[in-house]
Amino acid sequence: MRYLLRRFLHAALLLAGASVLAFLFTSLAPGNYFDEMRLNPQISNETLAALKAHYDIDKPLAVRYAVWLKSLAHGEMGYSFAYNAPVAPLLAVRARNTLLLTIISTLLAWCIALPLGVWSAEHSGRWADRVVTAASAFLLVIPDIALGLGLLIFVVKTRWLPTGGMVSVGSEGMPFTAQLWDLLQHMVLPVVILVLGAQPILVRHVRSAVAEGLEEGFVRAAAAHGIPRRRLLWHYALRAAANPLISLFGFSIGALLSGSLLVEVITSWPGLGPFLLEAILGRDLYVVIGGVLLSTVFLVGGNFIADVLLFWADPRIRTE
Amino acid sequence: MELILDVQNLSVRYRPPGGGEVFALRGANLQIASGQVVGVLGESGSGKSTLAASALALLPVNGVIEAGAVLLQGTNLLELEREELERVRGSKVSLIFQEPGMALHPMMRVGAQIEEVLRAHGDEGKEARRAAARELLDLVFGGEAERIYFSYPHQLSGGQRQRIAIAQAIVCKPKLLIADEPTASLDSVTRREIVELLKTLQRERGLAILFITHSAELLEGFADRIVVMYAGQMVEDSDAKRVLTAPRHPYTEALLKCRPALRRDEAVREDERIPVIAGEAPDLSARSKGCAFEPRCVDKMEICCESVPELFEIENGGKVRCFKFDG
Amino acid sequence: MEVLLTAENLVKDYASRRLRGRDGTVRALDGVSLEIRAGARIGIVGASGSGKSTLALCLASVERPDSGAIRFLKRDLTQVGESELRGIRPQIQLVFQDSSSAFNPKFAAGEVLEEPWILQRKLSAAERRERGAELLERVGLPRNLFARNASDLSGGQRQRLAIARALAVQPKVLILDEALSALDYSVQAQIANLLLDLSDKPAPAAERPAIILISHDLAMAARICDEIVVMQGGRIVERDSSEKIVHAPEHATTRELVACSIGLSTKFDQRPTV
Repeated sequence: MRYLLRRFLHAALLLAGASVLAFLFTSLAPGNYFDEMRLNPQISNETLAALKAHYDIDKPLAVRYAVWLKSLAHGEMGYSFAYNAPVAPLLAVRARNTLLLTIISTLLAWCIALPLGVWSAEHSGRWADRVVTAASAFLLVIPDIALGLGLLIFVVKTRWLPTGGMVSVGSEGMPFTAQLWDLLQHMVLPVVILVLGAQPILVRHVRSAVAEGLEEGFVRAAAAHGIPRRRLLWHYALRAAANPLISLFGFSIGALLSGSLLVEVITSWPGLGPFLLEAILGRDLYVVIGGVLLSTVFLVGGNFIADVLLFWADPRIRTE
Repeated sequence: MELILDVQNLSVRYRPPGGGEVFALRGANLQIASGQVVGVLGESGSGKSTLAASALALLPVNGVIEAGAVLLQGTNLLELEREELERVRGSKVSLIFQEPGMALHPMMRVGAQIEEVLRAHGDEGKEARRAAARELLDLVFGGEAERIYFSYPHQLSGGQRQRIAIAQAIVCKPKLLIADEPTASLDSVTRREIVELLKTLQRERGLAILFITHSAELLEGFADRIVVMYAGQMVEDSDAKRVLTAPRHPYTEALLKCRPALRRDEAVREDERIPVIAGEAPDLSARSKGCAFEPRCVDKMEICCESVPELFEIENGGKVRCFKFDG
Repeated sequence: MEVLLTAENLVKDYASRRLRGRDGTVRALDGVSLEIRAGARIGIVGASGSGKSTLALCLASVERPDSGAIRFLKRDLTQVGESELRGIRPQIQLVFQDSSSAFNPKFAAGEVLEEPWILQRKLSAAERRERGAELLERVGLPRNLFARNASDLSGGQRQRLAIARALAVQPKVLILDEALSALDYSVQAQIANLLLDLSDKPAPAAERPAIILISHDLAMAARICDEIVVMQGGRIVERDSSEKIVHAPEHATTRELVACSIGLSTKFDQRPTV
């Protein structure tokens, strides 16, 4: 129990530190939103000055941080200059879109990697294992962007799937099942890119962890007791591989918000990635900070979930 | 008397990771009758662990059976398919290893690990399995059985872990239990306790036991027969009492002499050096032309380096692989 | 014979994960006092968990006791700073049960031996090689093992190498913690003879390291050592000459230990040894 408390405190401290750093770095970047506006001759200097005062741009850093913290306590994450709207609901919509993609691809990726890795470890050294290892290496070597663009070109040429976006134009008017089908069709491309991109690392880790597990004395002893091969693989070897794999799973959760930026841009998926990118380029301060903080929550949360799972899975940690 | 195990002319070769070849077993022969306790006495490199693994057809990936058969109640295990072997292991013949700490899964409660063996060999439901496991723990541990059932291996001592391994090995009532140096990593008091446990189980269940060890004193009063192994071969195979009191093979004699023995009737310390076996351990990577023990033997004759001695018969059904007993 | 090393009322606790429901601390040493004289041969025996290994680690200053003193040549090692300890450590050497984890497996046997000398910077390369070869001979290893990889050696050879490395710094006290237990009996006999050679009575006491053999094997300890110390539950329960311990044990623990260590009950006709 004390172990879990320690990990939780650790996570909370990390979050606090991340928020400070995010604030600091975005503030240190040269320029602000309003400098862009100055280029526009239609906006007068008085308007600019009023806007700046309204958004407290000229107050010192610490003051702005304190004000922001206070509003965070109320559930608000500041104001977006570009959209002229509170940040929180904007982020919520985009985050939801991203999570829709990433949760499904993470689940799918693990559901494929686990059996594939176990199978590969079972046939360690033989041709089946070599094929899987070679395919993984091949996928690993191809940069995500090349993979993404390649698949996009394929989709454009064959027209089997929509070429981008999340929903088709005018889909709001369609019946529910048609809307769902439309959404699913749009999801196929980004999900495939994400799953393929994640496969090599996952399969590799599962394979090596299970292969190591199979060499352990207790697997040999269990084999001597006649425990069938299937059970040895899943119930004994894979279970012993829990430590490294749970940590990996924690990373997977951590990357749920932050790992799909490239894919979202390529497939024009209206997720958090492109939104943040736009905000960074446009110096939309509070959107950037809010987005970074949200991603950090997931990262830290993912780690914490891994700690909890490890605590549950490994009795040695429990009795420490 | 029914033969439980009949190892016939078994030869096994390994390819170690560094390259080359190791001839671990060369024409090994061993018979165990129902209810009999056979001790295998040997040191590292004698092939005893390979013998134990082969008796369950459990060789590692880099091991090759060159020749021979392992007959378990008439069936040659080396010819069976994997599924058939899985049925035999743990239920007709069981094996326990030297390091009990490594033989148990670190993340499973020990009670559950005993039930796993039952699950692999029978159809009874969860409740029946739990009852059987608890019953066995009572037998093997006595009072603390309840608490131990829910423990994890890292919470138990070495002796307790070995008892769990023994429970796993006998829960499906096998006819033969093979124990490969089961007490080597335990202290002297725990060692005797484990041997006593095995003696009890043997008496109560008519279990045949193949007890592999390098400590001859553990076999006294326990083994019916003793087989001595050297460089992958059996060099002496006789009634236990006779091997321990009047060994015939020069290796057996030298081996028994180099162990300082506490005796009630003689002085403990002598500043004299302890007798040792001269020379180095045998090189297993080459088939020797003559007797494997010849370089270290005090009784060597000319014929000893020219040809490999057979197992010659001596009185009372004993056998010795030494030219001194030829004819 | 002068007193080299004394333990005074050592106490040491460890946190433990005992059987379900009994978590807590374990008292590994519960007020242990011991005196070791130059050239002595002492065996410390007991079952697992009796505290004998903890005692060895404290005597060698690898672990610090929670309370009590360890005096080496009148200096209390528990009060001494790390840099001073570094100068004293070579005089009390420890050999473990499994020396395969004590050497870097990539090193050659010669490099293992030379390591302490390289750190001390007192000898030239040629001198180191010569001393190394001498040491190998002293522990009964052939000179040509110098170039062989430490991980290629057999168990017995590795233990000899570990003893050689311990001897390289000319210790006054040599502690062996179950250093023989994992070996075959024929190899144990060879190492035992080596220890008897090292502490051979005819040589002057100043040149012989005091030998402390920690073991659960009373038979071997009694054969090599003059004195036996029996431990149980972190305490010394009996201490006497080997002869007396084996033939007239007093404490229940000692009696149990003797009973479990009795060798083959009958002797066979022995021919003269080689």
